[in-house]
Amino acid sequence: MRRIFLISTFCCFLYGCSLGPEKPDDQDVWLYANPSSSQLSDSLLLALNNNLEAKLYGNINSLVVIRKDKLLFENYYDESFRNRTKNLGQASMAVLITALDLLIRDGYIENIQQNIVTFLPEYQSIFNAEPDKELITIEHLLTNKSGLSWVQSNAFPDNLNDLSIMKLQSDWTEYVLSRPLEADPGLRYVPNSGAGVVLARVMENALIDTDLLTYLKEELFGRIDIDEVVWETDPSGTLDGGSGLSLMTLDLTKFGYLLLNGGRWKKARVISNEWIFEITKTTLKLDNTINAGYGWWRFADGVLDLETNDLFFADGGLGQQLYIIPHLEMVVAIHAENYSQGFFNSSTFIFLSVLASLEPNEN
Amino acid sequence: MDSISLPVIHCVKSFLTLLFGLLSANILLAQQLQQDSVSYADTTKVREEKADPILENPIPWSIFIEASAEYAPQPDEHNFHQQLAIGASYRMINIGAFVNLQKKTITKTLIFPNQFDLIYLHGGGYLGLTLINGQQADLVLRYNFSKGGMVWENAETKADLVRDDYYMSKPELVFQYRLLNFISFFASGGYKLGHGIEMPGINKNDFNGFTISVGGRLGFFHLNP
Repeated sequence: MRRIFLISTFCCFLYGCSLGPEKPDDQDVWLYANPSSSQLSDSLLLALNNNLEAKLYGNINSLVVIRKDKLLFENYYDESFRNRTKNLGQASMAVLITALDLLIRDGYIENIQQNIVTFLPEYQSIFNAEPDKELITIEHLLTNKSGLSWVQSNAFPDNLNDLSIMKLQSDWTEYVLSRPLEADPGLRYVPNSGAGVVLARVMENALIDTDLLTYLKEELFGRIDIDEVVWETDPSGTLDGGSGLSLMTLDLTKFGYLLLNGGRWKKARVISNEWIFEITKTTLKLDNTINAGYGWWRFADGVLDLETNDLFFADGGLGQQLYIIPHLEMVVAIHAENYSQGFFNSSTFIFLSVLASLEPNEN
Repeated sequence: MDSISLPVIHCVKSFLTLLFGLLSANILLAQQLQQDSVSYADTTKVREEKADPILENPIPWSIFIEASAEYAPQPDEHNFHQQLAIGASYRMINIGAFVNLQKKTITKTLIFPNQFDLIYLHGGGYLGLTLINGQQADLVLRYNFSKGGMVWENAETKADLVRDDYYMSKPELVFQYRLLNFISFFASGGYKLGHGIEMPGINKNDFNGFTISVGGRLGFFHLNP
């Protein structure tokens, strides 16, 4: 009895001497390393960091750089910090579209050629009023070719901007579907964040036994060690698939790292490689510089000085960007709040500065 | 033949049993008598048995608190670590418990371009054996084993980045000089070995190496006469 007491006392002492039993409050995905260990210039990145601290690129919240399975650069600016979630803007739709693979895998959705009307019985009256809307498929939502009239541009005043008007409604899906058809579905490209809301509603209705956010947390975010997920909804409870997702920058980087590894996370398959190829391949050439995929974007050949143009990225509209460059084994995540700068914004130039820090024979 | 021989055989058996019994008892008695009657010749010198000092003298024991500075390896270089302990000894056995605290800041660029401070501490117990026990000084071989925690803290925001547990073992030789029966000084030399160190930016061998310590003890030391 005395022996047990002594051993217990000793064990308590050992326990008390440790700093705490909790697991590291940290990521366990990448090794930490200095940029130079992965052929990036320390001095150039330090100069970039100084510029970011001096706000030369506007309101940049964070910059994370991963290369060759190592976390090389992670810093936060303008009162941001690692554990703060930040909105992804329109990059939310890229995440939602990527997650569509899970519903197809699990049989909730057969394929993206299915008409959305089959998933939206509660809006049958809208389809009845304009029967051609029944031709809209899931793929049309992914490619911004639904044919629905939509004014997205920030150049329009709020009262003429469909995005702003939609957000005043109680049911955003109803508002988007109620827009008149101005072209046959599949014919014309019109940027439409409302399509993300409709896609979220389609996915929500396709799920039989759970709600969409719970499903995504279990099947996607939870499997890639993302615990903190904030996804805004409209008043009716539908996820704002167009712009409502908020993640920590490091978690956004994890998502990019998943795609970099062809959909595998720590050797487990999460997203199919075929789907990643499908959504990131060029489906539309917007202009001489940018090509569009399903929610993902590519630079046109020759825009960047890269040996292989396999780069794809998600863009949030305010400088939130996630770049994946498979041949460089590199992910760059940026959170920012810079308004009205278009595709080539401050974040793009930050990314170009990161690329410029690569040793000459590395790109 | 059979009717006569059986009683005879029984008689012989009983007789022999009795005979052997008496003989055995006699031999045992004879041995006892011989032992009791051992005598020494007058010329035989009987050596006096040397008295066991531990049995003859008061048993040495002590109880004390201890503070020391340990010059030990750490990730960048050898440096001083503070150590606090309580201990006791009884005859040749020494036991104690200690906390080894590293307060010196080791700053590294763990996640470029951020600076982080490494802070660690470990504590545990020791068991020792007195090799030489003198009147005022003694030499103890002791084995220390401890569990510790280590944390990388952002130098600017003070936020914890990563923390982990590890173990430390150290065999050492301790030389103690008792100045009075309530104060003593000691110096020791040993070899420290870290186990289970898996922290980013830290080599698992960074804490391995020779150590020297100096310190003082305050308590009660039952001195050898």
